[in-house]
Amino acid sequence: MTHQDQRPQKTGAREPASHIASLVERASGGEKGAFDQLVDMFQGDIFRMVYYRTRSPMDAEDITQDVFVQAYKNVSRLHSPKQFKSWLFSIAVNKVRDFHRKGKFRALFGLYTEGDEERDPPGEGGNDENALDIMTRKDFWRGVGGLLDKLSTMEREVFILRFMDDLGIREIAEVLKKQESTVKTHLYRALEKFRREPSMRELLREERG
Amino acid sequence: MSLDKDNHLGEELIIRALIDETDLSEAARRHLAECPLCRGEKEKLEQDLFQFGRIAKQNSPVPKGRISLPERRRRGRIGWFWNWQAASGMAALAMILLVVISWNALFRAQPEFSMVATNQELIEAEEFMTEVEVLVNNALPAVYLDISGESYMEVDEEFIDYVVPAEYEDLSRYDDGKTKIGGERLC
Repeated sequence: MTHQDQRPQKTGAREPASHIASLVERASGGEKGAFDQLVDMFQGDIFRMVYYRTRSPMDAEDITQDVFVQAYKNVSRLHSPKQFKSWLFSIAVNKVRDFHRKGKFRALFGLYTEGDEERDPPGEGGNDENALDIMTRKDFWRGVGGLLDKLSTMEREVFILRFMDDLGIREIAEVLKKQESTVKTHLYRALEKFRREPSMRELLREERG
Repeated sequence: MSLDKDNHLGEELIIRALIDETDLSEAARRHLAECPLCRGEKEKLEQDLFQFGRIAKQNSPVPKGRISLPERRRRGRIGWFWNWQAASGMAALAMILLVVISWNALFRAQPEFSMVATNQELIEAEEFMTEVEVLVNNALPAVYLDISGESYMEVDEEFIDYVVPAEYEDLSRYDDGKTKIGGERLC
């Protein structure tokens, strides 16, 4: 059993862009209910996006909360409602960067060690999750970590945004504030490395099996 | 277009096609559309990558709690009135402080004002002391001054000298002014 089986989640990717834009416009006008709907749509996406980068459900909860609070406070400044998703992800990317920066700072002063990063303590996903599920999940994320470590920071970021967060090239460019051609170049390099990596196929085979 | 020896798309073009098919040349795009082998290769890689994303999603926890948003502060009429009052009060206080500070600064910057005040005080004090001195010398009222003979105090000095010549005048006649009176030479 996986985490996803436990609770169905809404995702902003399935919502029509015009509906999202209209909610953003209403939220900009101070309508809290409209922003609540946006939260319902994107909370799962942002939470997962943060979890992929922190591997800690608790930190992902906290950072997701911060992302939405910041978005709520600044939604009126968003010029183009159609870019809401990219804007939300860019806030999340910055929050995750801050989180890692603080982690490095704490590690520098011995307040935090690499071992503390584990992240995802047993039973975190729910009481009905058995030990095998937990072990399988940990193995999967260990494998993913090993794969992603072979990429540069930018390649990794672009790869995760494209294939794990399901963002398009243009959205990734908006999130990272880069040219589309730059994004494509990083993605190309990441895919080249990934394709040559046998551990990815093994990982997929294990999961399929 | 970089094709391999069997005239199929190479790994580079397959990856480029996966990223954005429009980036391929017209010939490569046409080949991809027509060649089931190349299309299959591209689709397999695409499926693997998106499958990887799906598995990651399945292995992720779900958020436990709902996001709690802060309440936006609404400014009603009372709020505006309160703010207006507070702002006015602050402005008035600032004005008073400004006046006090300027006043002090003005007086400190112009010392003649204080000098004038000091001189005036000295004159008044001098006048007062003169009055006291007069009272000390002539304590009796004017009516009694005639009786006591004090009213003749203002007799001309020359007349008194004429009536009662000073003693040193007599001495100076005999010693050619060499005699001192009270340790002082007379001429």
